[in-house]
Order: sequence, then C-alpha cells, then structure tokens
Amino acid sequence: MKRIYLLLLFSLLALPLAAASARGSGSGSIVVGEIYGAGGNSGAAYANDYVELFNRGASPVAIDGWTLQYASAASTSWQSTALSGTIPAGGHYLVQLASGGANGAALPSADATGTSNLAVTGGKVAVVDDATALSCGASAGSCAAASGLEDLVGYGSAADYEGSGAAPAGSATNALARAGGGCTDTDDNAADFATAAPGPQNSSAAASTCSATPPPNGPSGSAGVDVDIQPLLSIALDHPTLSFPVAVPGTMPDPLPEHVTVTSNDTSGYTLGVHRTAFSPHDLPLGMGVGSGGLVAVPIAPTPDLSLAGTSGPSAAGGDIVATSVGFVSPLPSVPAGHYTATLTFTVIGK
Amino acid sequence: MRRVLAVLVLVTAAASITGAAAGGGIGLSASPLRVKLRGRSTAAVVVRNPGRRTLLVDVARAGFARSLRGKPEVRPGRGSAKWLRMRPKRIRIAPGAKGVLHVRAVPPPHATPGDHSALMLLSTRPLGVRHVRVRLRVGVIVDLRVRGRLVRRLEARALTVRRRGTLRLLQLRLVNRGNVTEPLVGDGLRISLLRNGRKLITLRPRSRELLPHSAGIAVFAYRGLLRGALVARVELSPPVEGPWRSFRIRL
Repeated sequence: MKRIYLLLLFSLLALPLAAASARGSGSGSIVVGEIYGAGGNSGAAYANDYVELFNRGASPVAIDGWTLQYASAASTSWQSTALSGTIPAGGHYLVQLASGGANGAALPSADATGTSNLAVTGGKVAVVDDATALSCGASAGSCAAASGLEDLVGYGSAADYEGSGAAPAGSATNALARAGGGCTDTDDNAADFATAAPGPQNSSAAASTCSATPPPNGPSGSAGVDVDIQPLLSIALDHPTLSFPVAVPGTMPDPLPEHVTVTSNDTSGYTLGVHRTAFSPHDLPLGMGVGSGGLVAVPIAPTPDLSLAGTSGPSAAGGDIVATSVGFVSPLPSVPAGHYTATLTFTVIGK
Repeated sequence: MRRVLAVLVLVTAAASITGAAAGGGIGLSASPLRVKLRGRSTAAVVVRNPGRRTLLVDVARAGFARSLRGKPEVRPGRGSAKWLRMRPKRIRIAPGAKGVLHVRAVPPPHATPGDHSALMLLSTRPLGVRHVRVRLRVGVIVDLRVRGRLVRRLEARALTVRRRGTLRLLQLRLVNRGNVTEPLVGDGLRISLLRNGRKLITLRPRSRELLPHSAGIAVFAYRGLLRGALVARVELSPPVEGPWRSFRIRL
C-alpha cells in the first residue's frame, strides 16, 4: 500500500516537472538582440520603436503564445505584444512598436506589431513564454524568479535587470545591441549590451548562428562545451600600507619588501610603473628597487612613472611577481619631528 | 637609472593574483584591457576585486601616448580623453565581487576623422594611515574611431644598426602622418635585405603599434651570418601612402 502511495506521489511531482520541461524547450535560446526606443522622435533613425529577438540556440523555437512585454523603468505594470511563428536557429524576429512622431525611416517588414511606447532613458523589456503579464520589476532581481521569463533586459534607469546593472540607455541615433552579434548572454545586462547604430532585422534576414549553443533540455542529448575567455589585466600587492620603524634624521631605515603581482592574458604584454605623492608635511627621499638592484628615487606626479617591469607577451599563468623594496635613497634630512605620509601609486597598462 | 631597473627580477611563480591579494593585500583587475569605440558608442568594462578588503575605485580619464619604443604612457588631461564619459565615476566593490563600468565616447562635431586613443584609469583609494600608503591603478586603453576619411600614410625616416655580439638590431624610425593607428605586426611591415639587387632575407619587427601623428621606432632583430654592405628595403603590406625608402646599411 505504501508503495502505491509513493508511486502516486512521484507521479504527481513528476507531472509539473514534465510540463515545465516541455514549456521551457526554448529556454535560453530566444533573447532580446536589440532595443530601439526613440522611434519617430526628433532625430530618430527609424519611425517606430522596435525590439529584435534572436535565436542564439542551435534549434528552431516555436514562439506561438509567447509575448514580448514592456514596463517603464520602475513600474510593475507590463504591456504585452503577442508573438507567433517559429524562429530558426540564428534567426531574427522583429517586433515593431509605437512611434513618437513622424521622424526616421520605416522599419523593415515586422514579424509582430505592438503598441508599447518604449522610453529612451530607461525601461524593461521581457520575453515571456506565455501570455500572463508579469507583475515584478520594482527592484533589482525581482523578476528573476518570474514564471515563464525567457529573457529580461533592463536599460537606462530601469529598477530591475539581469546581473550587476542595467544596460546603457539608447538615444535617437543609437539602439542597444547585444554583444557578439546577439550571441553573448551572461545574464548580465550591463555587460551584455552596448549602444550601437540601430540595425533592425526581421525573419527574412540571413541567419547568423552562434558558435556556442545552449545545452538542449530533455532526458538525454549531447551538450557542446564552449567558453569565451576575455582579456584580463590584474595587479595585486602584498601590503596595502608600508610602515617604517621610528627613525631619526641622518639615518636610513631598512627597505621594506613589497611584492607586486601582475596577471595578463594579453599577447601584447603590459607595462608596470610607479609614482608617488610628496611626503607631508615635508618631502622625504623615497626610493624603490627591483630584486637585488639598488634603490632609485620614485618620481613625484606628474613626472612620468618609474618603470618597474614590462613584457611583450602574456604573464605566467599565476601572474608575474615583481619583488620590490621600498626605502630611502639617502639619509633622512633634518626635518621637524612628526608623522610623515605619502602615497605610492602602481600603474599597470596593457600594451 | 632605467638600466638598473631594467635588470628585473621577474619571478614567475605559481601564486595566483587571488593568492597574492588574499594574504591581506589588495588587488584590482579589469576586463577587457582595451575597448574599441566607433563614433558615439558605449562599452562596458568589468572591474573585479580579488582581495579581501572592500575597495573604493575612482574612475577617471587621461590622455594616452606611446614612447618612441612603444611603451604606453599616461598623459594627464590631454586630447581626446575629454570626449569620454564614464559612469559611475566611483564604485565600491566588495571582496571577491565585481562591478561594471560604462565608457561612452561623445566626440564633438569638429572631431577630426580617424583614430583617437585615451585611457580609462581605475584607481583604488589609498588604504591605511601608515607612513607610505599604496594605491593600485589599472589603465584601460580606449580606441575611438571618428567617422570620415581615413588616411594611411607612413614615412620611413632613418635606419640604424646596433651590434650586440652576433645579434644585429635594425632600428627603423617611422613617422605616422596618417590618421589611423598602424599595427606594425606580422607581415604588415617588413625589411628585405638585398645585395646586388637579389633579395637575401626578409625581417619582421617586434610587435608594436604607431599612433596617428606620432613617431616611433620599429626594431628588427637579425641573428644570421650576413655581414657587410647591404641594401635594406622597407616594405609595408597593404601598401600605404608615403615615400617608402631603401637604406644602405652595414651589418
């Protein structure tokens, strides 16, 4: 008897999971590729607002019953535009929206038409795989768990967005475009979008497949593994402050060690330099050495930096460690007793 | 002075930057380390704090130049840097966290066509109140191209030979009179060594770039056995405007 109850319970639990799996068959593939909110405004490139969807996956996705939804920056009231049809892998889908005037060129033939009037300075656009209007969006992350949400883009002053921040606001001459030709989706609107000249594409446009494909859903299947490594430049120090022991004029305190670690995966290499501010209230002859080399006076800004290291290629995998020592190039001058401070600035720039 | 420091002890150890910063130190990273903008456009830069202390990072702009030998240089408040808008201008990043900065180019209508470079400087606020406080700064190069007629015009001015044992360093002094940054890499710039009109060898320079309206030195290393009087013919691909020259040299 117990077994029958367990089976029944399992079946009840499995049903909604299966349903969710079926509904989410295109999950992650359909994204907002481009947003233009200045349609028809003075100086506008196009006469209507538009949102371009893009299928970054490897399979076609049916979007019958889906909606494109829009809410203003802090609003939780969403307007819906019905979507229909199928977007092939790498395909585009153009949704024409309201117009703010008679300026700008006509859009290419739209695949769906709505009446939402996108704000230029800030708003939220969502792709939802059903017709239920969202009710979130008043604060960051509030839409993250919304049912049916396929993609969310908060831009400009939007209160909600994916990731660390909103995408930048557009303008009359600039749309918001997803990086990588629509392929980049790190779930971080701030990082995934940039402004660019508007270029609306409808379903007639040539497909442009992405090299990375989202993993297919279902009980089995193979998943492509793909990762884009971004160029990175890092600098780190062992000691955020250096404190010399109590000293008297005419003496030279022992140098203090400071290890500078630079990590760069850029093939052009990097340069590492240092400068300082003058000591306050009177300057002292601060110097710096690399390895076993002698100390050299550290220049005071705006004099150009003292060069500490430079490469013509990437750093070692764990970073290049530059062993420096910070001390004084001559005995301390006869200055009034007191607490003397200065700031050292280490600068690293890619080549 | 520079020679002393040029003898670097660059210890390449397996300690990661997070490891270096984790011992109580500080760290700052930026990605990408170079952004390219065309006209009025925006790019994002991700800043990370791999250390264990919360960082307050100031975002500023500065001019960018290269030394004769291609070393990047910060030029305070110069040139096209004033066309850049950054937001936010200050960001607080918790240990292990990241923040996203946006840099937007707003070139004025009178901006000259071609390439313009500037720096986005990310600086940590100095920590502590000890004798010497320390600050980290990462420079992200911003390459901005303003629409209009692009001109590629390089001039080869002089070629000198430095001898170091069996190594011969051919130093070609160039002037970029165009408005496009010239990447002097791969087959882009070559020197062919000729004797009696016959090409004996082709040399390629160490990788570097030459900013518009600037001068620089491209270095070609030769370790072969050729010696004596030769003709060095400078070749650029694809060809650019400019009086390309041949130089008589002695290896």
